[in-house]
Amino acid sequence: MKWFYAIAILLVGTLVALPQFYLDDEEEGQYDGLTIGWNPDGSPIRKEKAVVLHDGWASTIRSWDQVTCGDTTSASIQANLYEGLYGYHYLKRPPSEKTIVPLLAAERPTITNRGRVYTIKIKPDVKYSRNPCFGTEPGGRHGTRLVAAQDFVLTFKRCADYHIRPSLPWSLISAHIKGLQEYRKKTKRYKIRDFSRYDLPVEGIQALNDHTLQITLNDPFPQFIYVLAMHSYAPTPREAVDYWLGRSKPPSAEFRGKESLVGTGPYLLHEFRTKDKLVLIRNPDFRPDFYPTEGEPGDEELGLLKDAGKRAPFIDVISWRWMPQPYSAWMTFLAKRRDAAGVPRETFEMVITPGRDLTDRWRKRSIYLRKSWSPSVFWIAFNLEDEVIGNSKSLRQALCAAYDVENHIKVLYNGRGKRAVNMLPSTFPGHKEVGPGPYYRLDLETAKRKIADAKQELGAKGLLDGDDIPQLTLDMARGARAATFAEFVKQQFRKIGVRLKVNYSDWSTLQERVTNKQTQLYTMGWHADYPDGENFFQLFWSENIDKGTNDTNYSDAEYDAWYEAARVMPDTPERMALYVKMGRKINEDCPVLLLGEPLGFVLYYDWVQNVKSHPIGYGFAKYRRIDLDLRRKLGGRN
Amino acid sequence: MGAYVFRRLIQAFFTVLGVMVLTFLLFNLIAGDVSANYVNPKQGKQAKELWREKHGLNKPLFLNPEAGGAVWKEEFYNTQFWHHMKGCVTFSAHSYRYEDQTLLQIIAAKAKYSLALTVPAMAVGWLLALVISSAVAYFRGTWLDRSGVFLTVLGMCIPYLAYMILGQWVMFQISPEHAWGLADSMNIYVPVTIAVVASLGFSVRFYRTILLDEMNRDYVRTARAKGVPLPTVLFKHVLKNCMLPILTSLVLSIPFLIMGSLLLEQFFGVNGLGDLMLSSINDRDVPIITGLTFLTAVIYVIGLLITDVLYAVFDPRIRLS
Repeated sequence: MKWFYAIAILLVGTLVALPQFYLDDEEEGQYDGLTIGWNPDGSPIRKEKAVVLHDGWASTIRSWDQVTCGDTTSASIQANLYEGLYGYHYLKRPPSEKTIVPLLAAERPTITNRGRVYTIKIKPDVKYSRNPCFGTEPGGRHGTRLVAAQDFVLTFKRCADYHIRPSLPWSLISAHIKGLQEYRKKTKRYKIRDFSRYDLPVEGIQALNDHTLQITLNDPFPQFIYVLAMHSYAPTPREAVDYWLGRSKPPSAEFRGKESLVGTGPYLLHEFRTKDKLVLIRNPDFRPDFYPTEGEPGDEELGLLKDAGKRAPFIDVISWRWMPQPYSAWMTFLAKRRDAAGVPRETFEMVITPGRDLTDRWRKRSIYLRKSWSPSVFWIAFNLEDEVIGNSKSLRQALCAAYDVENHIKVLYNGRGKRAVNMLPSTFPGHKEVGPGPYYRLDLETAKRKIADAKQELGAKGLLDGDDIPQLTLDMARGARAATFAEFVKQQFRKIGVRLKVNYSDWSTLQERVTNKQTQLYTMGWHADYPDGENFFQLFWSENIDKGTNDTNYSDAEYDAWYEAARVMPDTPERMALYVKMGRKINEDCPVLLLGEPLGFVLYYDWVQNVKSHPIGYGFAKYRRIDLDLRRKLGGRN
Repeated sequence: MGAYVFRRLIQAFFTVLGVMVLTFLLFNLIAGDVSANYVNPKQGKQAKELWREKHGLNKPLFLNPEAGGAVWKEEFYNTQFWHHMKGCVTFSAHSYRYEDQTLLQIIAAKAKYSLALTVPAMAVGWLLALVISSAVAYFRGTWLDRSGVFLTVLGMCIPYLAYMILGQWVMFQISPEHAWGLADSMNIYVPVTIAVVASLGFSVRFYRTILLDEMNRDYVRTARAKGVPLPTVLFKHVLKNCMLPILTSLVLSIPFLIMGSLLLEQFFGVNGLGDLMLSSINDRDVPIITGLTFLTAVIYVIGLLITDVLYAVFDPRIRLS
């Protein structure tokens, strides 16, 4: 039996030691000596001590290819690798057409033919990141080449390619660019690896020469400039398509591997392990780009103009670790193992004052707070095709007026938001002009009066349950706070005698029920794609019922006429007048019960500088700075 | 023995087949449009339909009417069911979330992290539990035994999450660089230690009961009456005879090793399969869930078979036929 015990102990020892043989260690200073540029003879310029930003991420990155980017997490990473024609000014607010700045474009577009033709000059000297697809230079480094207008044409074609999963970039342009829908149909006939489909012409996208791009739209689309400010339309070199996608296994028309990502952005993808680690390093071929010299009033006092006019980027390496557990993420931040963090719900009251500022105790720890209004509005949507909720405007108005949104935000979200008073986010042009909706505020008297009207309306149609409003059903996705949320809604409706049943389901079931119009009330919201009210108003355009974006099934001929007129108009007082009409019409008809606009809180240590969050734009990591001396002094990572 | 193993393998085949059919039916019976998890609702219905087409969810479920019952034609097998079967068996199914990666690639990348956590935890946990339970059994009725029982019951009463939160908090106080993540490979021993400590109460109590049952048998009394010292009885005879239930519990835990420990992995930044399984369930990433279920079923039935064979090895009275 002795041998058995000996072997058992030996075996246990081996099993315990085994991970040491295959788990990799990460060394501090492993990025020191990073290449940040090239000498004229092609030899690398190295940086002795690399500046590393340590952060965490907790949402799945769904795409690495700019043309399939449709979520904020992917966009926030990708925008550091790819650059579009335009972007947003880092410091100026609110984001609007006026704050759009050229990135790869040399200047703002020339718009002709009554807003249908966009002619864009491209910067002549922007290089792609070095990649094997461009061959190898005599010195042994990978090749590169200058960006050309044809590369943008290819990107638009890839957005429309049948073999690439249709994503937001496709949805935003499909109806607008001339000939793009027809092109998509043609690409279906090609095999996935037959990239000769990219040689087919598209009527609406032309490279007039190497440095001039022309885009022709079906109809005027004044918001197109915002579309062009998305990194999703960053150029794609044909060499990358042929070299990387031509050999992809399984066959794919979408860039996925880190080696295959070729952009012009300030960073390169150095390492990515799904739900583990993500590292971006500085692109030594990044074009000259300088920190803004102008900002808003108050920016100077916050130290946001200290680096004005200096060449970016300031950080050499951005290292993210997957941290889905808020507790671990928070503890890692407190231990100064990461430079920034959100505030977990459990510690919110300890860290943030009722006035939404950082408590002194935390400020003394050399931590500061940055708040940002998200361009989103959340609501409880009403299915207007439901016979009860759709047949009684008074019932919808009563439900809105009975709902205590302020308390909803306080109780359910630690006060991280504000009451939405109309359907446009408060940072959007038109929000003030539309004004607060008469029913989007707590007013129990009005709610009770309206519920009496609702009983008459429904009674006339034989839809009452005895003398009462029939029990309503709220569909919502399961989640951490779903039960509390549901209980809160029940309480609100109970105040006016409306009974509510809650139907919990997973996200996919909820979506299916919404699409099939099987719901009555359901939780939903909208995150803006661009800072123009049109992005919200289209949600109630009856033509979008079939497309699925108008999921309240709101249909009103007058509203449709205003929307159809406004959507093709440039930003003029006439358009604003139509926006106001539409906004007020929604305020009156209440197809949704508006809840709130979320407010984001992020904490940084003092050594992270030049931080100003942007509600719409991405790709500003290049302007951030880490004060290494301060970090070392305050006990942060080296 | 050979015939027995063969017969059990045939049974195992049908068990696994049953699991696969069941998982397929289950995921097709659950309501909901899976595409909603993968297509931005802003893109509308058309995008969802295209996504479903790409992932073969527009194909017939079991039988392809276009093949007209011609089983020799490839078309016959162009159904969701056959794709599910093939994807599971060959591990070639593609995740809905990580479309470029097959199940095999995903498991290969993540299993090593799960195993780095669970295997040492199981091995040390097993050894420690055996040593401690032998000690408390040896000193039965003394203060050591009573303290041991008290501590094991206490250990069982404390929730797993409490061990994790406390363990991580302590590590953040004494050595923050080792409290989270695998930047240093030694960090893995933090969650391993927590897993061992958290499971020790149950294991010690379980093994102690088995040991004491065995120590009350006639042969032990006889050996003691003949003057054989207690350590010799305990380590030479009792422990060997206790191996059957211990081995059973040990082998049956093997399938769960590869699946990792969901909470520990998330808490300590270990990129293993536990986290993958949970996120796949949340995302309705059916190819991953069914593939991992298939893998678990296969390892489980093999584990059971090995247990039965080991029974015969450790207990000569058992004959497999």
